Amino acid sequence: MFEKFTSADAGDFRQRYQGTYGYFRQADNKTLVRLDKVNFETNNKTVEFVDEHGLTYTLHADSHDETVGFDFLPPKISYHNGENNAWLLRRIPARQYQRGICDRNTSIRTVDGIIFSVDFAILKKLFNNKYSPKETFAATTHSTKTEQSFALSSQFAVSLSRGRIYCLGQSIGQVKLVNSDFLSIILNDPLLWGTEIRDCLHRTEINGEVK
Amino acid sequence: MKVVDVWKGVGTPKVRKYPLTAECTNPELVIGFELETESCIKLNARGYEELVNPCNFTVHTDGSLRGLSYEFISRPMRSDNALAALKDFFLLTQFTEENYSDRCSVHVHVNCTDITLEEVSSVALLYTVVEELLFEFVGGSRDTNIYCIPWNQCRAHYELVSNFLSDPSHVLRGWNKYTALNLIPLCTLGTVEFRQMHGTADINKLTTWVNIIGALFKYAKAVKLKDLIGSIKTLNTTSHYEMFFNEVLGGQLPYNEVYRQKLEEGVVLAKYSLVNYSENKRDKKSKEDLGDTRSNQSIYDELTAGLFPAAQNVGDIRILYNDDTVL
Repeated sequence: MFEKFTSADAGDFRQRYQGTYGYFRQADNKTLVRLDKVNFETNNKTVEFVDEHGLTYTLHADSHDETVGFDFLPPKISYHNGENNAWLLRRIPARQYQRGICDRNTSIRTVDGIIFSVDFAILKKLFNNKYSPKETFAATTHSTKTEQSFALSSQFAVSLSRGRIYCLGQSIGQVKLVNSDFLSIILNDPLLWGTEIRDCLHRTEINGEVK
Repeated sequence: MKVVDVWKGVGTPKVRKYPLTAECTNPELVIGFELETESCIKLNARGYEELVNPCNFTVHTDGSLRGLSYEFISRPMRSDNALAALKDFFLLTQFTEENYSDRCSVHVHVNCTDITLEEVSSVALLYTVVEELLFEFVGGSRDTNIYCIPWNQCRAHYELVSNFLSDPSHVLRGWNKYTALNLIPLCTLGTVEFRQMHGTADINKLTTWVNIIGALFKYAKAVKLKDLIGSIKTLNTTSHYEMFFNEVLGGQLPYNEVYRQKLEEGVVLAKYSLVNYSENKRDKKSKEDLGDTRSNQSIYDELTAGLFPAAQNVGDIRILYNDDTVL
């Protein structure tokens, strides 16, 4: 979601994005940054970004370069696969003042429920590195970590460590791993979820049966 | 039980007439508009008041807007009258897209005083199914606007039907005004407020919007909640989706691949909201089968003992258990 920084809308820009994370973009280059400060009350309106290494970037309002701006990250509810586990990102239900992701409006937790602060490290795992369900599934079955989880889709995830399948954080059934690469899924309500979960297995090319 | 019977202070609206009508899906549905408008440079507030009063609109100030700006609020009218009045409103004021920045919105209030709590629940459930699709129609990245947050992003829909039917006032006390479909006015005006639409002078788009809303209410009144829940639960094939789409929104929007995907997502969200509504005994039984007896405390102990490398590597651990999980 690309936003130009203009002097006319500097006040709105500050309200929407100060303190949030997103990408500082110029042409095809984009850097994950936190938008630290919007100077909107002076004649020289600027935005200050900082990246994960602490390097500060300054963007002046009304840049002639149309490709320069801020790509904010909307806190849309969704599971994300990591290297060997998955997270659920969602908006915190409250009145929101910020449009991009920040600690005040976004909850990030693993499938097993471990909550993380919103920071560069977790956002890089969620947005910079993309893993397919099949990749994370394969990795998590060989993982020695306490949590073994992966996302089947943006709405469904499996925790092998807890033997559960979830829809957006809500348990909808039981899961057992058979022969290290086959999922046996028993749904609480097969009529409600059967087709969706079978579709997920089919789309992700993960072997399994659904009852 | 009807809405007016639940919140005693809510009276039935005084519905204004308008001499003209426009074709629409649900002409009897009583609605009202709030049009946030900027750059109102041609007249002062009194001038605009005189200009738009014959269209059943009044003029108000709005602190969220910039410059010479007003909020134009219509009096309650039937949809066929309201759309005709809206068309005349734009003819008279000569507002164009220039008057509508991304700060502006069009809010549509729909009268619910004459419908039952079950019918309101049906509207809410239908809305859950089509919310993503409505945002797709509206466009303009409105789903990221902080003044009309989608239900699915803040889980407003979760267990809404059962909670609303058992204690509607409690639901409204915890509701957030800035959700895309705001239910709070039910207990004050007897309305629900659709907040998705961006500011626009495009009468065709606004007409379609009113027709979509009208279609939702029409379907919610025609189909019993129990039957609606039943059909949502069994919606799971492409042909079912298309049939459902055409039954609810037929003629308002074209059924295409984008809308099909949005509908599919919406159906999952609606089913998710109904998980505990349909809970059966299998969950308890299978939980016993798995011997899942771990407590929050045991998991907390495990984590704080440093046995969770993923968490240590990435960030702070603040709260340590998934409170959504039914144990």
